[in-house]
Amino acid sequence: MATIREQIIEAAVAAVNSGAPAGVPACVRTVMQPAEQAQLPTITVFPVREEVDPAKAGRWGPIIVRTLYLRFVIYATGDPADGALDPIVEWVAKAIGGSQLGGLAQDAVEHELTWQYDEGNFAVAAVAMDFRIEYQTLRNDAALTQ
Amino acid sequence: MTTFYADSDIPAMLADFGVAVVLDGITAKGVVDYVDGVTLKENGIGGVINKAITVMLQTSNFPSLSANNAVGESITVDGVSYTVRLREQTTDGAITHLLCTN
Repeated sequence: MATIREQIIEAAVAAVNSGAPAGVPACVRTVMQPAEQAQLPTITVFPVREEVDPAKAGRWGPIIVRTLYLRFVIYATGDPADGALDPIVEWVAKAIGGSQLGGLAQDAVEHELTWQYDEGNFAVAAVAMDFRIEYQTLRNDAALTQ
Repeated sequence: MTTFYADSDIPAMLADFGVAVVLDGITAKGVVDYVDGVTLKENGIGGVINKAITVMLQTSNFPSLSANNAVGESITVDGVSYTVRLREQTTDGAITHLLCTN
């Protein structure tokens, strides 16, 4: 069985892709390859960090509480390039913010957004949207919540 | 000892493998390079392929290169229109590299 973390990532992809408005591209998990200009805009999502807090459930308790930092990276081109990101950022925040991702998480909170820019023969911007996903697992089994 | 292309050396070089460049309403030869690169990777993920278009020109051929006000100007390179986004004179200043964007 996949870990709760893995199930959360898959649920996040499904949440962004479900009912997305026109102009929002499909979210794809952990895309390693760079995009071409004609393929923009794009969204990919991947985990970047996880904090584990065993104390919240007591030192000897069976549960540990985890905070997963899940990063969505959105790329778009336009003038201004960051303006082209805005409707996609709005949708991702709406799809993930406050979600329990099918009961897998206690909460999903927008944590930080970081923009970057580049100009070659076209202007492109990227925004990294980090969400804090709080969830719990058994201390000795990351695939079970209880 | 460091040596530079002197102003008089450059025309022969450009005549050999240059393309037509129009800037400041003046047509002269320039050497163009198109180099793709990956930019904006995030933790090794994703990124975008973008192209650096660089044109090497003889500085003295174009007034805006000598006056240092070429950025933002329109330029036509080998029949294609671009905008100058970066100007860099090199060595003794006889050669200028322009980075262009669509």
